[in-house]
Amino acid sequence: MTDAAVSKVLGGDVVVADLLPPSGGGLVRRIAAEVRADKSALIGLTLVVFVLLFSFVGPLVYRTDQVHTNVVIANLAPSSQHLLGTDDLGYDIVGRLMAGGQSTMEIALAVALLATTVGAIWGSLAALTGGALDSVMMRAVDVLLGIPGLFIVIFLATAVKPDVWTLIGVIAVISWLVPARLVRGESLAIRTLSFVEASRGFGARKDWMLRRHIVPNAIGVIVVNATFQVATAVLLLAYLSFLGFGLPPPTASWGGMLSTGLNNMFNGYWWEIYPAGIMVVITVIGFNLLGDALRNILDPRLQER
Amino acid sequence: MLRRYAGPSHAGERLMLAYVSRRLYHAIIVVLGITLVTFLLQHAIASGTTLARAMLGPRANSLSIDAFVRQYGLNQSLPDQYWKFLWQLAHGNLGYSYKLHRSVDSILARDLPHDLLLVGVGLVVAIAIAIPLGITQAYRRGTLFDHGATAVSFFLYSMPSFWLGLLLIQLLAVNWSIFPAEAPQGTSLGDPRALVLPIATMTLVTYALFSRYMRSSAIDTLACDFIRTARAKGASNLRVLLWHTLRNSLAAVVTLVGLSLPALFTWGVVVEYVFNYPGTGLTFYNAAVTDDYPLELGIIVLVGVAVVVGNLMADIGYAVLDPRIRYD
Repeated sequence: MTDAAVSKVLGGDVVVADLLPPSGGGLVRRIAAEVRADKSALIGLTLVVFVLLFSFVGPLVYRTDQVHTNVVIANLAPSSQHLLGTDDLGYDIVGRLMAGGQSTMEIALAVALLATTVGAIWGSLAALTGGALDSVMMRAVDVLLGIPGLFIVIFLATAVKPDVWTLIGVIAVISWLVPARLVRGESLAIRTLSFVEASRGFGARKDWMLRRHIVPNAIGVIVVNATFQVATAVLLLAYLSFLGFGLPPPTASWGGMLSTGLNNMFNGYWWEIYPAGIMVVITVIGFNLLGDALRNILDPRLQER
Repeated sequence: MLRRYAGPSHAGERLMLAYVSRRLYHAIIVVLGITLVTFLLQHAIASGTTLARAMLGPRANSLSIDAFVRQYGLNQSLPDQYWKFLWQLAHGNLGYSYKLHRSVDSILARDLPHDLLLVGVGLVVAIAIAIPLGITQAYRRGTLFDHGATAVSFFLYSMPSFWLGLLLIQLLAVNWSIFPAEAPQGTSLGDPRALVLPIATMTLVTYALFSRYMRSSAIDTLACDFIRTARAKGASNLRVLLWHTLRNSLAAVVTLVGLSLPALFTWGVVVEYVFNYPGTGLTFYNAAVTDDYPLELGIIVLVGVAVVVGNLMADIGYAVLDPRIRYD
């Protein structure tokens, strides 16, 4: 249907642009513009890229032995040989941060992908079917959200043998709930927007509206939430590893490194306290800032700026 | 659906009552759901003889395991066992820890006062910081002060709470030896200085959670018509901020506290672990490490119920305190 036809149906004084979803320029151009305009977006992107390069490319440049323990070089202060010193088993801290970053990013990205997909399907299904099934599906979400996540995660983590896959599963069990609730609310809200109501008025079918209106308009919320989910998963994984429910040694994890740091705190080994914590913080800040920036780009309602 | 509320009326009261009873009904359903999920989780992990063996230890012989299974009805059908679990819960019995040889109730009665102290003081101090700071930030929006305060709370918010605790220990206990690194042990309070670091950690993470909401709540209030009216009537800045904005921020706090219980419980576990603080969080950690399932489940049920009640209070408090809004 052309714009002219729409305006004819609705009467001349209705501005057609109000009824149509905002289109804007190309996505890449909008992202580039946002990054240029918003300093925090640039910081977020830089931090995320840094963490990824550090964890995955870093070990190719800075080679360390992260398998064999060597107590002769345990707890060494930072030096030219070990840039950030060594831990209580003689592992190089920088190398350990890189290895911990790999497992952290693998688990957190997988959790975000899994949780967002499951949550989006669950939420949009509930919104579309409505009625009793909707109630049952959302009450299930309410129940699981009622138990603080860390308690469920710890309970499940003690029951499984911790490896990358089980940890992804355990953290995903509680991570899909927020996206499910969000996507349901978003789908319901989109259905009442004027351009969707207009297309319903023109006799659009449900599946066409889902494909044409609901999914394209909810995808922004979904992607933004996935970015925040990465940050949440990084934190949750750090909690689990710190408490000793994470990947078992000799696998490196940031939380596990901090647990060692706690034990050696009174020996004054500050290099076992600061670096791993800073890595967690910059990863979380990076993904949170990136999420904020993506929200500005992808949420059509925020584009009037 | 949101409806404009035109003033006190019987219709408004009736709607309010209907809203509260609907929320109450919803809360009961969710609490029942939580008990069911907890029960099923337990069964998925250990049930019947496996559970008996886990409780009695590796040296238990088959005779005592059989006796245990029969005594606690672990060979009954799932619905029967769930009904029994529910029946006990309804009578305030959260279970029995075979590892500690104490009822879960008595363990929680011992721990909860400590949690109230840690979380309660942390909460009050965090609110006392977050409200005035949020109003000031809203009033001076866009200034260096506003950006600085936002950056600090964003940094704190992105920090794992245990690492914040470690940093405080490193600075104030190891480097400068001002405060002890470990919380007071035993039932008495002991040295109050030992409480400073755990409570400070709790305060900072709670403040980080609240500050952004306090700021945006104050910004919303300052943009309201009644603020313009007050100003037009010649109210001073101080009066507008202290009387009108503060009152609205206090209403927002009620909601915020109710909704932040899951986060507070989560931090409770981690902060108590770091400072060896004798509360429910540390007890839950120890129960998880020793596979003390009844104790773990009892705590999960209690925490879940507390969260649901918190949400309920937040919703009702919001509806009561904000006269503009009624839900129907």
